Amino acid sequence: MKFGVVVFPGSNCDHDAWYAVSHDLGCRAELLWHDDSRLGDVDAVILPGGFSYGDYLRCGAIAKFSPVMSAVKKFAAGGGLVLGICNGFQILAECGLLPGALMRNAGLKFICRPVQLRVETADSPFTSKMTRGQVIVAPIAHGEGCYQAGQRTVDELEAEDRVAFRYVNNPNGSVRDIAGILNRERNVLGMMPHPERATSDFMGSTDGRFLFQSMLAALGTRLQSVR
Amino acid sequence: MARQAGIRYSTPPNPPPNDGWFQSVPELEYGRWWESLVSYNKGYMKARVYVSPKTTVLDPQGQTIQSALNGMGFRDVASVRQGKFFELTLKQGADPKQAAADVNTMARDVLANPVIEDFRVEFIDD
Repeated sequence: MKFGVVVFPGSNCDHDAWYAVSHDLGCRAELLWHDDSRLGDVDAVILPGGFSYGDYLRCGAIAKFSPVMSAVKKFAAGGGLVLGICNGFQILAECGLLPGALMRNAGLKFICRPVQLRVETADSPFTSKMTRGQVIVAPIAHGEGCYQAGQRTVDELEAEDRVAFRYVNNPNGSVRDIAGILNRERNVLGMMPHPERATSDFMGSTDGRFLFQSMLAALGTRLQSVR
Repeated sequence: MARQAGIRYSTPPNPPPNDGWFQSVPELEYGRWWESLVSYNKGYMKARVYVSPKTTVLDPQGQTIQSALNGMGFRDVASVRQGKFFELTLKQGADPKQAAADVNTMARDVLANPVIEDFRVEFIDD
């Protein structure tokens, strides 16, 4: 089982994600450079948080044209698991793998603190080890995390059970308290909170492990069904 | 304008040699002739792209600017929308029709995010 963590110029949670996967979960993790158009033999891809390409133009707007993203798009189209955290979510929204966009926080401030999230669906490879309605704690650290989408898109997300997480207390003005969403095939998750920063006791929360263990379970059964 | 000390000026190229077949004209021989070339080369086409948040989307930055302006005493400001402005200089000889189509594509796919932003393109001759 091998995770690939994409490194863009300006990523700053790449090593957090690498640490969470390799140290706290005991899986293999590999850092993938943004200029590489091949993902190698990874079983899942993590787009980490940070400020890819300095957030120039818009968050994630330049990253969507990087060579690695065309590989990630192909990987996702083939059913591979892609997890976008924070800036990774912004990149997924920009490149069209997820609907909507992320805008400046309603309060205009960069917010960095733990928040409570309500799990909205357990029916996904990212949340299968959680239960619907469960409240987990994970930190947020963003200035542009206000999720916005047209009303029809949001209605569609809710009708198709694609809202993965909602904020218990909306910190940034996101439409309908949305903190994380899935794509239609449910193999791509984008979320603003950082599960990789909630995987050890010293971090203040270990709830992020639920997410990674769900991914592991999904990958495990997938690999067994292949064999 | 008089030349100032401490500034490096680019030197004009040497005037073309007068091999005697035309009447010498001092204005042409002394440094002025190449300026006509520079002005001839002017006339780059420029595209301006204005990107603004959609009216249906919350613009907290604009709201904050508006309240600051109101607070300064400019009571007539009813609303502020903050956007972005891009100026693209096109290469000489660019086909205006093709350029118009291209700049629209650039604005839609790169410069603006159509989910949250509107854009407007205009062309000017410099």
